[in-house]
Amino acid sequence: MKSRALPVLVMLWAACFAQPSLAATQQVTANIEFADVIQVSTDSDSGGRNLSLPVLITVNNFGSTYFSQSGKVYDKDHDTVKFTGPKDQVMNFLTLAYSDGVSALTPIKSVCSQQGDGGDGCDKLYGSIQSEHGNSAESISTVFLTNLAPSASKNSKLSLFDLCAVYQ
Amino acid sequence: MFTRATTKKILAYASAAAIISSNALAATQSVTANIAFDTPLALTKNLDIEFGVVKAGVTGTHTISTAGTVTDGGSAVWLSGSPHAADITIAGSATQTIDISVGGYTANESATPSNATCDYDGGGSGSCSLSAAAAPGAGKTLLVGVRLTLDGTAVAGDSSTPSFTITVVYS
Repeated sequence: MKSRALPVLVMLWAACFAQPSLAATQQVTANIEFADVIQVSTDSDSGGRNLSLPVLITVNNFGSTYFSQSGKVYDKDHDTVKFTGPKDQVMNFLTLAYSDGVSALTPIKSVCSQQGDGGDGCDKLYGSIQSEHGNSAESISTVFLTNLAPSASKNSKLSLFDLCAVYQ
Repeated sequence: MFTRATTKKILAYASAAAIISSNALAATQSVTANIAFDTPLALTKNLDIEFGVVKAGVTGTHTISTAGTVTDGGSAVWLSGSPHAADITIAGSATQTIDISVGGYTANESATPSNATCDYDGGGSGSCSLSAAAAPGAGKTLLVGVRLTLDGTAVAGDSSTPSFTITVVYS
């Protein structure tokens, strides 16, 4: 009996205690990157126009920089967005684009480039979203400034004229 | 002395008794050895968690759901990127249920993970402590989100890779 029982016990033991070896583990890594944020303020000199603040300028590690901000829709008038930030992170190439929250990002107008502005860089930038987009009634939820490359020049200012229905 | 005939009788009876008594003492018992065969569990990580780019130098939390949506807490500000949850394929037995657990939260640089959430086989997001979940069979998807708590010491250009461990066993 002993000679028969022993293998049986071994098999029962194996069945019971071998199960933990079937456990599987997997390490999960959460990747996150950190970037500077430049605060942007706006003029609110007339017409009840104002941007919801703060508007964010993002300077990430890859040289592609943009800001995006949701805010109110406001009427057609002049407004000015002032960019301030570290000297080595001002922008010298801007492209205005919009997204209505559904469509893909649509470039509207390049308002400055390294080759433009008579060598002044982007000390002052001008653009008209409404005239380029052609529909003053359309609500644009987010405005992006894209393709911003770090520059060692002075702080930049961006003036947006006839900015219409940019923020909702 | 016995006659020859008597001797033969005695031997015959003795032989019969030996045979009969021998059969009466024998006993047999069938012993069954039960053993079950199954498929070892296998976890295949298809994607780690990706938060994207967030504001440096602030305290707060970023929580990414199993659907890949990032929500901010405190002073934390999510900025850009294409965030997504972790995606793990669990394969194993087609009949045996599984238990899922999470642990081993390990901080890295300025970010500390906690409160992982799991969505196994499209059953909805919830705790990562699952018992008797459906047998994985050839492969079922486990989506994993997590919360990161930032201590505010990160500077622009930093990156962080906090981690934790998902464990799956048969129930």
